[in-house]
Amino acid sequence: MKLFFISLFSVLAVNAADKIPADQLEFFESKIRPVLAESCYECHNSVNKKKGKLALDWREPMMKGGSEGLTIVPGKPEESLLIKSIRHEDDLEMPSKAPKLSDAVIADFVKWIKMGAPDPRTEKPNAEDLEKAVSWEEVRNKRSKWWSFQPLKYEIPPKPEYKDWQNNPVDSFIFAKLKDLKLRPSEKADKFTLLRRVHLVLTGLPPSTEDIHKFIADKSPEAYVKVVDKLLSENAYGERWARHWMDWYRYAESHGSEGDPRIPYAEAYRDYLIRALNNDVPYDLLLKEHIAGDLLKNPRINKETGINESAIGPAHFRLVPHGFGVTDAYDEQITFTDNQIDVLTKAMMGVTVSCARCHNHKFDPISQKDFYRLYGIMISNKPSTVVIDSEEKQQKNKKEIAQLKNELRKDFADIWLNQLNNLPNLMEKADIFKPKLPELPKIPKGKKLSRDERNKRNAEQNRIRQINQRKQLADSPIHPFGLWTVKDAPSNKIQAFINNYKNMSESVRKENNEAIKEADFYLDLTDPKSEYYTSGNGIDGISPAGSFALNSHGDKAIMGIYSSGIYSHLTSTKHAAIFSTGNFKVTEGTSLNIKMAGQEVQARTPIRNYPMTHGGLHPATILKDEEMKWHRGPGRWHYWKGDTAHFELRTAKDIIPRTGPERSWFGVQAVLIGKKTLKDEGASILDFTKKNISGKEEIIALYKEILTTVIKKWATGKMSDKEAIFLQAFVNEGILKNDLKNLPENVKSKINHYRKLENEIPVPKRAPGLMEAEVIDQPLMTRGDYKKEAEKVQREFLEIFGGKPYKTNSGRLELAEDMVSTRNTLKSRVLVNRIWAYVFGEGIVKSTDNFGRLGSKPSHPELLDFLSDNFEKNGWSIKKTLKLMVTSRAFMSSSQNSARADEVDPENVYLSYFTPRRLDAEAIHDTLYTIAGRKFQRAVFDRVIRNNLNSFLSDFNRPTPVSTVSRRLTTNVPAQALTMMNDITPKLSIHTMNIALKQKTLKTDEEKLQALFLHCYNRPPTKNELRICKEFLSQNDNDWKIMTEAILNSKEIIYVY
Amino acid sequence: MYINPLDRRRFLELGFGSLGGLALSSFANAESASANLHHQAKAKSVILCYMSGGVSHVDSFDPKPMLHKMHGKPMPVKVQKTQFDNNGDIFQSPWKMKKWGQSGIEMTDLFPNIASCADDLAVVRSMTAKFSEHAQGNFFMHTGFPFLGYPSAGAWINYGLGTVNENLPGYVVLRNKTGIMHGGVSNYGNGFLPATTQGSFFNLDRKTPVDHIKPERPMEIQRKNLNLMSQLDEGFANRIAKARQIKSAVANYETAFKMQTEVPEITDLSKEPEHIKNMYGMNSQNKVMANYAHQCLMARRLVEKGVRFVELTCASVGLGAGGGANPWDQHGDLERGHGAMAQQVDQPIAALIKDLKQRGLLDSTLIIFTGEFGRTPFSQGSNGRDHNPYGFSLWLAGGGIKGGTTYGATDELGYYAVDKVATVYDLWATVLHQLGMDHEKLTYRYSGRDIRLTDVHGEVWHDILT
Repeated sequence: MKLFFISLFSVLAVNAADKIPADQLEFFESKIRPVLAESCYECHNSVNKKKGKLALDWREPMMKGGSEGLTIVPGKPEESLLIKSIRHEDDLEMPSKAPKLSDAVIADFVKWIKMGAPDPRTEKPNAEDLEKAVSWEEVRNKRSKWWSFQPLKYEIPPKPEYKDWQNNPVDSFIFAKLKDLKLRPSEKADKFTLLRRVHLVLTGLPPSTEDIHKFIADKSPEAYVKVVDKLLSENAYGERWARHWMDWYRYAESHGSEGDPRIPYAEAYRDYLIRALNNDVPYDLLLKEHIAGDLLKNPRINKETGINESAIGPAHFRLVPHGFGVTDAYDEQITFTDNQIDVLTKAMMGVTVSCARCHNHKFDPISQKDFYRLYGIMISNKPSTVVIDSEEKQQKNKKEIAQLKNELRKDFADIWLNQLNNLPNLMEKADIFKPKLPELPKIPKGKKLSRDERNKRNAEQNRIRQINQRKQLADSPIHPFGLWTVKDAPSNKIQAFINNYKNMSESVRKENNEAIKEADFYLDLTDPKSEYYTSGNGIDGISPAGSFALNSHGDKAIMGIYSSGIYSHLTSTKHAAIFSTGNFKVTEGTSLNIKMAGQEVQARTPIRNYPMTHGGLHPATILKDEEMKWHRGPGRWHYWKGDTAHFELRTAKDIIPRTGPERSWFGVQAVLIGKKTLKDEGASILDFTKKNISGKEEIIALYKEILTTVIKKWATGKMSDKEAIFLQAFVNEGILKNDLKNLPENVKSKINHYRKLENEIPVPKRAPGLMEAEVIDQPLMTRGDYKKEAEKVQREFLEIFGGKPYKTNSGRLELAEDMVSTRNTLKSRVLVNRIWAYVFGEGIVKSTDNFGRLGSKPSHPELLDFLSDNFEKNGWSIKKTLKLMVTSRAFMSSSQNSARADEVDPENVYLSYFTPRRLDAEAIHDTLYTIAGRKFQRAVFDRVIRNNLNSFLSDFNRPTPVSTVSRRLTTNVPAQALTMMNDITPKLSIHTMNIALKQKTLKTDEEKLQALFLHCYNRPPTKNELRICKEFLSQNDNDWKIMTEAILNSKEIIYVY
Repeated sequence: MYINPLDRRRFLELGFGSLGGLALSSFANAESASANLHHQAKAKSVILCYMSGGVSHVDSFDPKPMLHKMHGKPMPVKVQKTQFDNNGDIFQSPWKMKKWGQSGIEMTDLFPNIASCADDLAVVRSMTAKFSEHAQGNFFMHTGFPFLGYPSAGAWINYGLGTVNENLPGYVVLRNKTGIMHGGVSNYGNGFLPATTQGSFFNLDRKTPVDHIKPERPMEIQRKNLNLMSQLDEGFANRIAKARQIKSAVANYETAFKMQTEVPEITDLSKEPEHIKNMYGMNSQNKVMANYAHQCLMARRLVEKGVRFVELTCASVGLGAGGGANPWDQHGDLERGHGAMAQQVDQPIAALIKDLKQRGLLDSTLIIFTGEFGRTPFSQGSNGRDHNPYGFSLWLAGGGIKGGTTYGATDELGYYAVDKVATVYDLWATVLHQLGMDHEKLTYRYSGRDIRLTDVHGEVWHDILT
């Protein structure tokens, strides 16, 4: 069949082309057809889009032309509209909204038309032909020849002839270009200017007067390098450069949209960046941390604080905007996952992968599949919080407590066994057999409770109901105490009870088996083979029956003895825990049921990973029920039918978006989705015996016997679930000793020891993050439409950088490795270019976020590659790279331009002088407050609340946190002048003046002016300035304050030059 | 210096974006803009009467007799997911339908004054939006995208046309004891466009309607202060390259300085005659209405001064679920809530139409009346309506719009748009068209793409244009 097809095709081709000479046919096929197909067919075809009534996808319409007239005049390229438009002549620009075709391609078209425009395409194509007209591989391979996808390549130019340009390799590159352009570099800046410049660039703060005096006085050749080293070692450095980084990862502390919910612990990411930059953590490690820091085998631990720094890296994935109460959860998932991918690829690689969501990238070698490769990685994780304490801190006292609990098990077993002779008496006194508690009296009409009062009342009501419910169940045939309640009854009643038990336990068992068999989803968390996902330090897998927790305070020693399952609090209720099921479909006519227990724990059923709550559509419940039993899952089940969801439990401090108290815990045993629900099977004493029971004495004896066995089994650590439930009932009711005051001294002291150890356990520190969960290969969405899912795409790195499908969990760890591998030609270039841009004002590649075809080409490609290579070879050290840049002669140039520079290089691309520029918003803020000598918080610490952004910083172009920005705009808006004139400077001028003139030795106006200028501008005044200012003072009653205000409003304050 | 939209984009692309010169130009490039327009402009300014929270179209501009016939019956068509998921049965309108004006457009008597201007209105009855949540709906309606970070239509328009009056912002958002819609101030933001294009608040309820507009020092001191500043700046500019940037920044201070007098002048209504104030309803006993009337009158004054885009905000009347951010959001208590909300805006907006008309300004001023979505034809709870983005109404007036027309239709129940389905993209394509711009050509390159207000969509509603 295949053979036939090929031969048929070639026959057609021959027919079509039979009159075209072979060399011309070859020329068309290799040079013309691919360009037409790639650049023109999309808008000019005879299938679905015919812009300007022109189709170029086969010979006939192409020759006929469109609404603008003839497209091609064979033999006469100069008269052909096609040539004019690809040359961008006569107001025609084709291909539209795309870079101009290369000169070589245009020359090919000219040549082809000269040939007479031989064209073998004589058949009208159909939709399928069009689709296949361009092979993606070909297109990609062609596009991957773009400079940024090539390996690093450079040669250091010879040393410049000027002596002060010989010390730094950066200068060789800069000088070589200047020489080519016959541009003379400007003189070295004076020491005042240079000091201020390097201070502002490295720390975002101006130098103090003392700094200036010291630097001016230091005549040694190393004076400047000393300053650089000092600045790089100051915390202010990290505070400045972290803010740049925050722009790349659209740092925000809320999600925006209605309600603007907060992102708990977002500031941990900011502080992490500051520390990482100050410690000059290698960039490749930081990249890895940003993708999979929580999964690294040897994470970076902060010795001082015991924080696992690496684990904070992925926090940026959570800084996405979220919709509020979304009704289309899939669409929401696409939106926020798209944002994660957009930021990841732009921040780390300077390419726009999210442009390829609906189709292959228009200009870059990035396929639509690439987008879904990354999409799968992202959605195989659940938005979450992560514990960022070191493993050591997380495990604090865990072993000791486990050891202690082992001892306590034996101690308690001994105590309890000793109690059993007295069992009937103890049972008599048990609370559970006493009458039910009265309900709370109703609130009198007209009385309004405060929120606190209402909460208290609800809690009390809840407690009473739970106790009464327990009492109600005590005489159930499957309850541990059931048989006891009939012990005084006549034997026929006892027999009836036993029959009842048999029927009931049989039918419950049968119904449960059926329900499980028919369930759409069943997760048995007593079975170690079950698949589930957890994080936090509270959970160590499935605990065996008989596991128990101790109270950290209060009268009771043991908190509970549990059947097997997952528990978060077997060491401490301070421990963090998140439990998640895999994904399931919300099905019609079913319900979600969970067997669980807990305190202050959030239970949620997120749809498509949507992490926000909303009363109506995305409800969450706070579980406050310590008894393990079945609960109906939270969520609008029927509303979401057909959608994908999962179920999760979170300890209070891990709740998104509003966290709860320090202590909380949960246990979970099973999750079921089905038409039928499961019933509790209970733990009747009759489950443990086959004896015939007929009278009181036998019942008492049986209870003694079974309890003895169960307690002994518990002491050895091996018991069944039912035995654990049975034992727990006796402990819980206080029949078996559990009150601290009734325990022997040695046991009491062990309990106190536990409490001391528990008290030492720190409340885990958290950060926003991801939790590895069920792995999903995302189906490609045809034209970006999720209703048109096509084939699944395996999780993998971008295809231009090659690689294999990922195998380990979500693939984040593999992506992290690929990101820093040598195959990725973008990572260091992108970073080094950004550093350069923050130092010199513009990047070597001006489009610092776009290294693709639509981005700018590098002005100094070899310098960029040299710096990138040097960076990687020097341990990926950002500080070393910065030092290399700021110690270059190019950085030290004065900011005066020559007439020739204005003519040849008006934008100063080639750096014949230092480009003056306005400071960014944060530096303006920090500078003004610094020179006013006020105590202030640096702008980097300003809370970034999406719906309530700081207007001062926004006015000065701090970007809206939505996507990667590494090149801020600088615009003038009157709002800036208004806030400076009428708000900031009137507030600060008096302080600025006072601190500048505080020295008592200042006598004359001239001395004072000298001091004021040095303080504000970090340089002495010029003669002219002295004159102007003296004049001003004499005309304005010596009003120094107003003069200072004018100085604060002058542009030099907010410029680095 | 005028930079037409395309050149402007290239200008920025080439890296001039960081120059103060650009921002200045968009403040000072005056009316020469029209010379470079794509086609002859009909309108010069836009007034957006934004009905945050969502007006019920079936109770106002798209009345449905079928709702009366089927009142209390279940919906016969598929009901989409609603945000509150508390869907009741078909719910008839408490308001009566009538034919209005010469054109006889059918509307209810919820907005009697606006309806009496029927022959000036083009009612679009087939509007759709993609989101049934307020913040996303607001962002979508304002920027064409459902979340923050994209420029608002008012910013795009100022970017494309520049401002006529260099002493006033080109995009003014009026507030008068009104809240900020869900999604926050970014709905009025410039996104990635130059900050000069962003919406500026005029808070009419405050003594100083614009932040920091009140001179902190006496004007003559400030003048001296600025003179000294300029002298120092001049010295600075002479000592460094890129002097032009510095000069633009200095000019920016001069603009701000002038704004300090211009803004109080324009917001001072003492010279407006009483009969005009009364016509708008400024002296009404109904305080929220009087406040809205103040906004409408101010909108006219701003448009007269050449402001390109004025947006008005409604105040909450505390009924239904309508709070400060979404006053029209009557999930419950529709009759009282919508009644009071309509009263707030009805007379003032009708007066605005008439006042502009009598001054010959209506032809060059395009008024838009819309919320982020409509409301369901079925009830929510007992007496409210939920959000409905699948079909709703807006209207346009002035600015070359053909009055007395309707465009498109919803189904018999007013649930889904069925005829000439209209989108937010179409709305802005049409508005830009009336302002003389081709919505496909008004682009800005950001993060590797040429971004438009209309994304990759948008059809001009030629049927309703004169």
